[in-house]
Amino acid sequence: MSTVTDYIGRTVDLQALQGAKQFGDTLLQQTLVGETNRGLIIAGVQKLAQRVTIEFFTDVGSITYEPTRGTAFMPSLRQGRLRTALEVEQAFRSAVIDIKRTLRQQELDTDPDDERIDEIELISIVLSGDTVILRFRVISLAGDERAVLFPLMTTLEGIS
Amino acid sequence: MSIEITDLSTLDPDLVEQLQEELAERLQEAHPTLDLKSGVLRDLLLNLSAILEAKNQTETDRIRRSASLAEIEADPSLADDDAVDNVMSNYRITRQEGEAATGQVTIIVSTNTTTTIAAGAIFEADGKQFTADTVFVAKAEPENVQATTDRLMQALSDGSFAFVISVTASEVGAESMLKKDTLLTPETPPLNFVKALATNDFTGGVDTETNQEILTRMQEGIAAQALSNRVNMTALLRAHEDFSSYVASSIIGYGDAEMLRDARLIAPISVGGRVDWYLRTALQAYRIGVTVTATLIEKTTDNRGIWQFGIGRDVLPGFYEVASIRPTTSGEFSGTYPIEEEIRSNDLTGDGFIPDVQTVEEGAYSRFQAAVVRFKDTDTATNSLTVNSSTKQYSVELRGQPLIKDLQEYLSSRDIRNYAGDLLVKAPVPCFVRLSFEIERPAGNTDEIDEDAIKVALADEVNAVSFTGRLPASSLSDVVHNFLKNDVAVSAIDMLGRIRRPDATTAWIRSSEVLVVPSEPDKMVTAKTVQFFLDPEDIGLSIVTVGEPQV
Repeated sequence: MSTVTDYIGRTVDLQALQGAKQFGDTLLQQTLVGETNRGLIIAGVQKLAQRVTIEFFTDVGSITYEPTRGTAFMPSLRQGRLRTALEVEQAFRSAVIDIKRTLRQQELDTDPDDERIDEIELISIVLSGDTVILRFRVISLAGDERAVLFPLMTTLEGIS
Repeated sequence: MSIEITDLSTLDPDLVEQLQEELAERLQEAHPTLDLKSGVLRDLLLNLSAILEAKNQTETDRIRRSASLAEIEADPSLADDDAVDNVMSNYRITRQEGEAATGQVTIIVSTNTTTTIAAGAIFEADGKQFTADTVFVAKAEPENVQATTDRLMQALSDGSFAFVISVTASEVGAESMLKKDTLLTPETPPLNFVKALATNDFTGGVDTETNQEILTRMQEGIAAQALSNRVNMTALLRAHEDFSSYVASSIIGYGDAEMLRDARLIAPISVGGRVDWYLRTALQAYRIGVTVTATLIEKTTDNRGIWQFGIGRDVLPGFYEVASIRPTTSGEFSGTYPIEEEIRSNDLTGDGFIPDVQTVEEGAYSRFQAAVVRFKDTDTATNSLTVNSSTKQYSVELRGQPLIKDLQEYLSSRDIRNYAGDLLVKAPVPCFVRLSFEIERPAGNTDEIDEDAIKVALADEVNAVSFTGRLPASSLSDVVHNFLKNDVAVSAIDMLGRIRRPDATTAWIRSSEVLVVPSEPDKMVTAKTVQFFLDPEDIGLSIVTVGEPQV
């Protein structure tokens, strides 16, 4: 478990996708306040992974004044345009280009390497009935040298 | 335009982005450990805050602009109506609300059985609705016509019967100003209904004043409102509820070549103290129909006769001309008996201040003008009639401008008029324009061309020309081209103008380039006194297909 000292020198974001574990599959909860916490802050590669996930699931054009945010992956899926694994892969790789471009536009040179995107690797695609299971790996510029900072419980008032 | 923003997607994107960066910077300074470049905090906090802040700033900006005369002048369309009204109230100017057009409708039925038109009965014309002002009961016998809403049926030559009712447009605005003879359709036709048509041009339909219009009025009306110099005089009218919507104005006074009333001395000098104010009060020449009683004054060898009737100064004050004379019993509303002679005069009787008008020319188109008209009735046999005794009723149509009498009375009133001189209100000297041209389109082009819309737009263009004395064909071509596309072209526009001078003579002008009013100040005909009038019916438009040459 991380402590406050691990976060020194870091900038934090709120955790919006809660419930992740170090190992194994977990269904994430989209919430800012969990059943056992009043909000969590995150930094490091957790923050990066969350950004990637949010960008991936955001429909491009759905944020009124940020029309280039998000990807076309989910709209394509909902519209039934992805019927084979190859089509899913093509859509995913297209989305990766958009995600990397967006994140790199937001990054600063002074950001820690484990918060900067390097690559998003597709591990596997499984089509089963009306379900698509994608496994992908988010790699930061820190590579394997990243230190995983686990979410830190905080009160919203004490966020700073 | 409303100050309040009700749709958050209509904000200025640049403003939202700028505010988002501003908020991020301020928040970062206060909370350095927050990551505000991207992520949840930015999406949920900064983005939404920036949108709401942009909304507030935009609304504040609108309020500020609406409260500033300079900003309203810069862009009246952006200002909120209520805020503009508040600013205008500082100058004692109130927005003029729209008014519904009113007029009379002639209803023709096939039999003379008593016919009732219910109060509020709906008639439609030109896409607008009109309602009967009250219940009207049309009766065949004069002795049965007792109530003010009773109407006497008049027999028409085709065996049908006509009576007149008054109606009011359901909507306010100028679009409901029907022209004389426009057909109306009743929602519920009365018994034996044949047709209904506008008896006269409708009047009174006025659009609610726009910010641009109220601003123009403010600029013209902010000066002292008095019969002094031209600016003050214009301000006086613009501030008056009944007269403020006049179309064009030209003030002729001391030193102007067109001013004849102050230069009657033997010596060629002007003494001043006289003003001729030419006011165009309606875009198109106003048409009214009146019933006159004519007297037979001469029998002709073909067993017909010359008849005479008078037009008093109050029938249509300042009228331009008699457009047609027809028997009242005619069901066919076209054609006219030929006018043999028209003798104009001045009727300077009555109380109150009377301007110094000594000749017919000086009083032409003023409220003091009267006339005697002689015409030949080519239908009525006169062998059994008596000269100077036999009379007959005729339906006469006059063309002119409204409000001339009201303007004269207002400007001559003791409190308003200048104590050092006199002012004579006149309708502008008319130049009735006819246009003819062709629209050429290549073979195979099937684009729809809205001829009626083109004619209305052309009439609006011509009738809006101020006292410039020039009507360029290029401006008319420009109007027509707004309705055309895909290689459709306009031929040269033949413009023909008929100026009826104050001395009753006619001047014809014609051009396909620029129609120019002649300079005849000794006849009170110059660019300062003449206005162009164009009725859409006086536009000859034909569409021709042009074959492509074989190559």
